[in-house]
Amino acid sequence: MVSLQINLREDKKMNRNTIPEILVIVMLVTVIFVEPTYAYLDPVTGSIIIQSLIAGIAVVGYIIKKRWYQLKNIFSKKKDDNDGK
Amino acid sequence: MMANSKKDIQQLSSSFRDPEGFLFRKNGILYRKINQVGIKNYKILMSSGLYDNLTKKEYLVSHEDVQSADFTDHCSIVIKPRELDFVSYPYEWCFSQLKDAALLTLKIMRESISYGIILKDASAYNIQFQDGKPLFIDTGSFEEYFEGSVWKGYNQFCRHFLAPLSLIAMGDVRLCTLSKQHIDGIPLDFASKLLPLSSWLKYSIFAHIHLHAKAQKRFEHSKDGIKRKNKINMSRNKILGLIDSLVSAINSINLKEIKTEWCDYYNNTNYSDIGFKHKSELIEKFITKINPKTVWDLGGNNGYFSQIAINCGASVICWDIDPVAVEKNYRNSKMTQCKILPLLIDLTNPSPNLGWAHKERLSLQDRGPVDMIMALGLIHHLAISNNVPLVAIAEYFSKLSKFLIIEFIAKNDSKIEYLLSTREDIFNDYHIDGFIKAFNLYYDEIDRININDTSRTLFLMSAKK
Repeated sequence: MVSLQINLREDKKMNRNTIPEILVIVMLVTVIFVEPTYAYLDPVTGSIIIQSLIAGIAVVGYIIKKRWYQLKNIFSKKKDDNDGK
Repeated sequence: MMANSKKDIQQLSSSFRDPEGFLFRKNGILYRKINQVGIKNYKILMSSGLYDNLTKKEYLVSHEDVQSADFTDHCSIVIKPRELDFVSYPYEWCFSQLKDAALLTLKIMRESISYGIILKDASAYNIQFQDGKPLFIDTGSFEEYFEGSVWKGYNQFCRHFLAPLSLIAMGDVRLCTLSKQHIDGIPLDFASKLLPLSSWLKYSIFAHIHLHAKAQKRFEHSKDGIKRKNKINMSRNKILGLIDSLVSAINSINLKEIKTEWCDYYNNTNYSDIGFKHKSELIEKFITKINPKTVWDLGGNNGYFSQIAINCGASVICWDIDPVAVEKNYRNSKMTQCKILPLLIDLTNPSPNLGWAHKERLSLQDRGPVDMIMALGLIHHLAISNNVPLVAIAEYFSKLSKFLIIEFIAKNDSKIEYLLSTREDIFNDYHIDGFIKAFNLYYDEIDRININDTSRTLFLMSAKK
């Protein structure tokens, strides 16, 4: 888009009769309908937001699993103790 | 390598992004320098007990402290990591190698968190295969973990591991080489576009790839997103939940049974038992005669003949063009604890120099030469299927190693008759005399024996110069 603006400025200096009309139309259409482009993209923000969202869901399963193993350990220890006696 | 005249050291051209340190060679020995900014994290790794834990489990490369060396200074630390047999790249790995590398990264991440440490990145290039197993090689990747902080390596993990694995498994097995084009991982929006529609129904792929890609796009210019990002507080349990979620995601991706041209090669050979046994004996005889330390088996398929070199005490890489043959070889080597390193290569378009200034990732040739290469049942694929002149094959092979075991296959062999059945025979020089003439330009012949019950001849050669 920047380069197009520069081209347009340069075009003003040129003899208008030398520019084919079709080129002007193409340039105008391009300028009007072109999507804005950015030189600086930020891919990190979305990634961090989604990381937090997924982790928020996953932590529920993680805590249930952790508690389950803790319970299992307690019972297996009790069983071992009884077996030992 | 980049020269550093000040201290007469050679900084490795692959090691320049991390301000906390870099790898270098001095007198041929590999060292890692940890700069002042990285010393705190290094000391935490060493004093926490994490280093001992990870090296004991053979997850992390071990190193020696070389503070007494003459090139150390007051504001940095120098360590001497264990030297690896070979540096391979993710675009040369099969599916299971990439999967094992991903799982090792997550195992290390989980162990690290319990020591109050976190991985600051999740690059697939931090993993190498040594003695048949994945090994984490970047001692500089560890940093102190602060409760509430996010995992900075999450996006890189998805690009380097999850995206290519899901593309290979749900798309096409040949997509394993896509990482050659995207050396910092497959962009997630690209992976999302390439994945089949059915992948949207799989929660792990939907969340970590499709939704992840959409979120990146949605918040790439958003000030609101930055405000939301700054409010995020990731508890330790949330980080561990995220790792659990990624482990399940990786474990749920499996390769379907695929048949390719080469995957049953040794069940479909035209050798008789006598010929196959004689060929094996000759290869063992030639290897024993030279006693090489390093061998590349080019076009080695499932590694049958690589195994002979391994049994003779060599460190062997078995290269093949077929991802399924490499996959089978890797799985079999893992099961039998064999130390062959199976890797993927198209010899007509081998791995080039890639990355910054063409020096970040080295070409096949720049990672050689080795003591010996084996080109068994290969010459006709290069010379006839791919029209590579015999002289060009000899010239290239002579750059890869000093010694060569090569099998010449005459035109009356059924495999070549099959190759020529659908095309014009324009290969007037393809006969044993033409082969000898071409290879004599670059090699001295040491031995030559016809393989019993075949129209094939095995040569042992030594490169001139």
